[in-house]
Amino acid sequence: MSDGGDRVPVSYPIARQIPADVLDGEARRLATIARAPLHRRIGGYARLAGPGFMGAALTLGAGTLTSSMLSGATFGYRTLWLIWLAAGLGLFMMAAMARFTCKGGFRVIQVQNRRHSWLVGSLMTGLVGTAAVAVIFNFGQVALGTHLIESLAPFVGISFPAEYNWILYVAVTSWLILSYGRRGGLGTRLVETVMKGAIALMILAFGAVLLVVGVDWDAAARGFFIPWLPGGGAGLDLFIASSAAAVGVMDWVFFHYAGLARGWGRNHESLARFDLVAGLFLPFVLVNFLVIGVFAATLFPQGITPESAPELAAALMPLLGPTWSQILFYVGFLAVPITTTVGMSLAGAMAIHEALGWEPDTSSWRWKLTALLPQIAFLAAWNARPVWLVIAIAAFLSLANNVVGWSMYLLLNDREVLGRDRGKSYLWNLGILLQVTLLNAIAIVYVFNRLGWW
Amino acid sequence: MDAGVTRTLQRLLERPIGPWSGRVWGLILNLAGNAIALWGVASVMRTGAGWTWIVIGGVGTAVCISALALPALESEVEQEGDE
Repeated sequence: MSDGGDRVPVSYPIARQIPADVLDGEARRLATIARAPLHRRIGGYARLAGPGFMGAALTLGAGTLTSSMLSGATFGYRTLWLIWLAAGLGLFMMAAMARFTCKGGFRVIQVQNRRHSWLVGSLMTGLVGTAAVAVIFNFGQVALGTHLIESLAPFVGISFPAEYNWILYVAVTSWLILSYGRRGGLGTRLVETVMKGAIALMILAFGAVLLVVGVDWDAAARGFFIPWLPGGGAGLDLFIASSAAAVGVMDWVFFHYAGLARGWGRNHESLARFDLVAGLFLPFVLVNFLVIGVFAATLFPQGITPESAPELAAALMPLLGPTWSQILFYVGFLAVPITTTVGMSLAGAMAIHEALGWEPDTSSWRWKLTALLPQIAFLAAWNARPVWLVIAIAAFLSLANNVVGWSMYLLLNDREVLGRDRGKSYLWNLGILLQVTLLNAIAIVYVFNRLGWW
Repeated sequence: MDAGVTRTLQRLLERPIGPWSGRVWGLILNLAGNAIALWGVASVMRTGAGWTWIVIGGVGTAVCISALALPALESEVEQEGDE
């Protein structure tokens, strides 16, 4: 790996299942697209993109959306600027992951193990930063998903409580999870298409609801472009949490390995960057904008600020007017936990295999078991939540995420790892360092909190 | 930044200093700068005093980030290849 010039990308086992003629065809299409006029290039890239959309579907989960709903209900449009800033800042690190995938051609956790120790690679990045997070955070997804199914059922005249509908939730998400990497790459494209469709559904549903409730465009524009924060420590907490948490370790790992699983190589970096902007950044900003807008237009003027996603959704319903807009909101909202469960489960399986040095084989029982591990969260249908585990993981994440960020920054600047392909841009490094500094701030504030200083 | 200073900093970032490279030490210094600045913020919130810590930590953070953003030096082999 000392010379970056003639490196042939290491073939990731999931990508080996894609027939060579399919990969060759994609390479030819990419070469044609690269010479095409801008509008045709965008269309061509949009058809080939995928891991970025999967990343957006993963990131747009119950936690992110609840945070946006609360922001809209509590502060109106005034925190809209945080959304694009947070997602934009995250793009620098994601571009580094694209570099590792396309030009590095290596598997990042393995390289971290070699360069920065097993503690940073396998443990902090793989097992805790990705796999444990996938299991723990899935409790929130299942709780929200089953609640939304329960809320939707009366619209078709039936009762379908969470204690029973979790079977439907787990069945649908498990089918998608186990389709990934199967049938010569067709399964991967199926999952990517479902993710793209789900994001389109969220945008259509929340957009239509926003049209029904109306937008104060003047306030929205001010909130989008003029930074504002609540005073005191709450403002700083909100800024740090929103800026650093939008795109985290799991998103970095997942985008990297999802790209490897698609057989991305040296010629795919432009596609990967397009995918980051069009697939991850724009949908993330747009969906959050719509959700904040809906709650800023409805609950904010009335001063209603419920605390959980189900309470927020329930408080919103009487203000939405026609039944169809209520159904649309619930359906769009249901796409949120479903896609996040699928994305997190795949990220968790990839991370466990990398951390333990197992070769990922999507037809093996080991893959299926690790991929379905987060489904233990079906217990959330009965309001069960391993609180002690949540606290432990949150603590470890707060303290470890910045170290993983350091590791990625160091790899991008490592001549022995990337050779000539290492990062050579001052601005790129600067963007990554700003995100690393925010992750540092999360760790420091966590420690200060524990010591009673914050 | 002056070209000579930039090259010196770049060499320092790549040079091993004890167990780690200059870049790793830079990240640790940056973390210390962040902690000092946030300690100042916490003090200001509690007592109204502590602006000096914010300034010291803030300047330290800015200096560390500015230096760490410098990419690694081109090796002689790379420079020859470019010619």
